[in-house]
Amino acid sequence: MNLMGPAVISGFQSAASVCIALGQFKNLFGYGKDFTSSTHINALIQDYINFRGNVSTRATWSGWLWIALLLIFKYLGRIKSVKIRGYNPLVFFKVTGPILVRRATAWRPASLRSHPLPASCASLQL
Amino acid sequence: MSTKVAELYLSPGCTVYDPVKNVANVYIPSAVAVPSAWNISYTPVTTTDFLGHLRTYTPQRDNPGCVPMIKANAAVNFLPDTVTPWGTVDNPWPGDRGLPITGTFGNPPVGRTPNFGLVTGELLTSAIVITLVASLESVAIAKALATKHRQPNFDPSQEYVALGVANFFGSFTGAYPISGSFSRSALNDEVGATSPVSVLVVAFLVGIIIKIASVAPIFFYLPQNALSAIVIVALTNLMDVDHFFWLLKYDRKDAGIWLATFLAVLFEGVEIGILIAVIISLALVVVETLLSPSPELGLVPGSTKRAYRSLNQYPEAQRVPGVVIHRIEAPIIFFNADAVASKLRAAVYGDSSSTSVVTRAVVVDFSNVPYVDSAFIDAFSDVLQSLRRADVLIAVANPNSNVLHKLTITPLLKALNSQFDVESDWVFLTVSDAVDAVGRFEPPIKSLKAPMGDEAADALSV
Repeated sequence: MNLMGPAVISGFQSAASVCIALGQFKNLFGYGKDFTSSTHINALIQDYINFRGNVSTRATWSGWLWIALLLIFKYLGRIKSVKIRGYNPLVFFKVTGPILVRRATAWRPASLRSHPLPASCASLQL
Repeated sequence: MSTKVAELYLSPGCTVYDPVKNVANVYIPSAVAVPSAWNISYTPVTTTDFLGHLRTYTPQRDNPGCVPMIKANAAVNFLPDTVTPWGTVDNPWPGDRGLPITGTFGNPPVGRTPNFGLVTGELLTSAIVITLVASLESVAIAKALATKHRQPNFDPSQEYVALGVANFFGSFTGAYPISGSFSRSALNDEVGATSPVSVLVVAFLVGIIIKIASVAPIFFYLPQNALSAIVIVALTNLMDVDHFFWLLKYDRKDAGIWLATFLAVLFEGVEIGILIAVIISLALVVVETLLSPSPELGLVPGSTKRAYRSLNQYPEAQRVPGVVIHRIEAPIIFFNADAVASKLRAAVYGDSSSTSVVTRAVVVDFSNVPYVDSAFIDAFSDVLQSLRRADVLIAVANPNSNVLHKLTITPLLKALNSQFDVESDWVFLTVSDAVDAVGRFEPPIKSLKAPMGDEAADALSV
């Protein structure tokens, strides 16, 4: 494993994060499970071209909203000037950011609270 | 293209999608008995089926129960159902499906005996490949994070121990093969994990959450894209483009390796990409050895201890008349042994570019040769023979124990020490010792050689 130099490690890590992030776009844009899961960028781009007219508007804007929220939380945690007893209280947002976003999105709209959960999720798990 | 579109839009029971008319035939069982509801285009349609094969079909005849659903007419529902007169079906158009949600979890795993019946079959090859890829990926991400946090004492063998133990116990629940996940590691790092305790906490919490979620669907309405957003934001930490620009500034070769790795992993996938990157970086090492210089040395004037340094690096250094000194700066092995040998021979036979003095001796400085292989034995005995034919003496300075051992166990040392049929020792501690000894050496009378100029003889008799 020492054959992998720092340049190889760093290049691999960057490329792999690009691939994995692109692979997450299927969920971000609401393609559902029909989208192929590949780690090759050419397959991912091909799929994106194939499906670009069929992304879910709702999933797309909400996905970008979650990303923006997470980046804001991350930014808040990095502000150096805000300090209470030497600590940045906003670090709370950075550390619990993912949990906050999960809780916020798992909230059920009031109109649906009386809606019984379907017994089978087969029709909902797209 | 059509293959994937067909996969996307088709309901079970309908084998065709018409991309030209943008119509998906959705199978509705209750519509089988209602031929008027079918897609009744009598013109044959040519399109691709699930497997991507072109086929021509007549919608009415081949697809009883398949009701055409045109995209523009599909209702946009939050719950992805489309109500038709013949029943309610899943909306086939993903753009109209609303927000995919997590839904229910499965039950927590239960213990089971691993199935050893598959071990000898085709699973064996897959298992080997999975093992390689999993360990490669785990160690790569571990190394990446160790580099990021400057932990030089990172020990990859601990990764293998962890993977082995985890997979061993995972097999008793029928688990997916376990490896160090890239995105999960990035996420763990993003929220500030600094020690393995974080993984224990995560495992404990995931266990509890799965247990709860299997009973009460707490994550039912969690959109899948929220999970994706978390992963994407965590991965932005691992994008290391800054390192590329740093390399571009300080080491162009490593920047090239970075770029090659990046593109290879991007386009060829993780395992092939890393293999390509490792091969490229090893090939560069080989090429560097191949192209390693063996500079000619000269005496640097004014140095109190007589220093012989590269003529290229020190323009004021002077050649010793009649003596060619070479320092070899790489291991002499199969791919550069011939190049080194021809360089030594060229010192004698080649056009002596600067000096008119006939070369009397060659001194080879072995200080920078870490080891030699069998190709060196052949090449060096060739050099000895050709120099002997030209009546040129050869002396060796400062070989290390590997090189000296190779010389001793082969006839080379004997041949070296009996040049001009005179028993003498031609292995020296330093280049200056070698140059002195070469200068003092008087070849026996019987050996015919070219007459030397006076100044060369003066210079040599130090």
